[in-house]
Amino acid sequence: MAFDIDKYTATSVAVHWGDLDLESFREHPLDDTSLRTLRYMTDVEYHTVCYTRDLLTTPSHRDPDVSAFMTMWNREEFWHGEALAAVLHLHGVTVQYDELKAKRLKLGWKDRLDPIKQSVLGTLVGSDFIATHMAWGAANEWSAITAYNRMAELEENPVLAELLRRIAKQEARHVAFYTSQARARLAASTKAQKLTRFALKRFWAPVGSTIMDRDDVIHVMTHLMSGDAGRDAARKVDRSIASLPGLEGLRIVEDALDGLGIAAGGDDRARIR
Amino acid sequence: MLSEGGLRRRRLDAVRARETDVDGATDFDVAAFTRSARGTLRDVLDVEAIRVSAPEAELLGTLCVLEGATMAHLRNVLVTATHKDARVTAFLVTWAFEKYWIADALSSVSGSRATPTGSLPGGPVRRATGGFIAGRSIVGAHMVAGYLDDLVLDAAYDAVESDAAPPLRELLAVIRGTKSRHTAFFLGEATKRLASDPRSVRLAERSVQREAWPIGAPLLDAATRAAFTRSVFGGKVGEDRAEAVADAIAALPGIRARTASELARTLAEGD
Repeated sequence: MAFDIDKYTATSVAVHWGDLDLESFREHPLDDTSLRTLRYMTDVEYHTVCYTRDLLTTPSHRDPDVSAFMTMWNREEFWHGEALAAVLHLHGVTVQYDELKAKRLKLGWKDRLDPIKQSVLGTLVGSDFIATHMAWGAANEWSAITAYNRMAELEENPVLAELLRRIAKQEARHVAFYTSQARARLAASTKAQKLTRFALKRFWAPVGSTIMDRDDVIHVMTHLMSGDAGRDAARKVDRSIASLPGLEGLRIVEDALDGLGIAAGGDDRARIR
Repeated sequence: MLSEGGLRRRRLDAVRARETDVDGATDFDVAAFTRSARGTLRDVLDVEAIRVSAPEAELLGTLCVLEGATMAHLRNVLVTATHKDARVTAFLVTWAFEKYWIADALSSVSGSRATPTGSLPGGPVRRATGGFIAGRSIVGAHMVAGYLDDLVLDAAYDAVESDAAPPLRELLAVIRGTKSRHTAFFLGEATKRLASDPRSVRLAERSVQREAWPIGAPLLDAATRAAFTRSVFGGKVGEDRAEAVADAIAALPGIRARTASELARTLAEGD
């Protein structure tokens, strides 16, 4: 079914947490493992604008629907960062613009060359490159939903679970947009399918890998995606990605977890605590 | 949780990031701005009931395209060091959101379904390469661009308002009120960055001289651009508006009077 962009923009709101009893974290604080994961998620949400930059190097901005979506999506993701930062704040962790900026500055030359690389590729490949970005976006959003749901399951904290559920619900609308775009664009072009398959298989990595330290990526993946339940969740994401035209059989999340040495079996809770 | 070493490294990185900022560039409360962003204007006004004349509809339709050119602009801006500054990007995310809804209201009132569908000059490769060389000084130039864009668009709203009926005036007041916070941010950032960085001044001057204004102007066809120039900067009143825009730019630190007077001329002539 086509994505209704007018309905999406009309109902796009900043995630709401004013009614949640965040103060309860003072009595029932999250442990260090969860706080580190939450910090990672916060940073990733705030850094969404870096992904926007890459997406904008393609001709996608000329499409009014894409442009409208990106406007709302960016703001929603920013507010996910704000919501998670509010939880961190109650644990004495303050996320400041300067810190986020410092993280982006640390990326150095590679980050500065990235848009040039993306643009050159976009120019060489043409509009099929948009399909790749859309499938990539879908993979990222599916992963994000999975991460939030896994965190809610593992934490068993009703306040955090509700906040993460609200965030995941907004991410689900992002998935709907990306998949509708990716599906249509992939179905229309064998070249787009081949390119997207190659790009995802070769270059996809868990969301945040390009901006966060490898130690943090391993921590989060071990926390949320290790063990039997974590691996099942990863397979589910892979199945969703593989359902897109031309991407049958892809298992990029499982491959990424294997590459990071994340255990595929056993009790996920026991592994990191 | 982070180790002590990790925490120290993070603090040090934050201090370094702060050092790259100009003194006092924190006056505008970005967090408060993001928290109080204005969404659809249809919640506060019966936008669909506003009736406008044909010339008003034409100018408002053009303004709809110009306000909606946010992603086309960010395409050029985010490939530079500007995207590194989390405070600036937090502002831009909300700025784009508010402008989206301004464009939506303008589309409804003007009856125009026109949306920006093109690209602005430069493109990511050229802008990223230029930004690569310019480094962090480019942020100041981008702040001047945002400020100048707001000044020109405000001149256009002034032109529409001069003969507008009360319901349209009410809408324009809401739009100009919303945009006044954008202007305040851009002005504050531009002033501080230009005052402390001569390279930012040079980049800003070059941008003022070489780019078309407002930012989204290249997305308009020649006839629409000419009509915009006539409506906003034509005649004696229009000349005064162009002078006022140029004066505001000339008041920025380091901007030469010659650059500003050239700007007034190009605005009035529509070059």
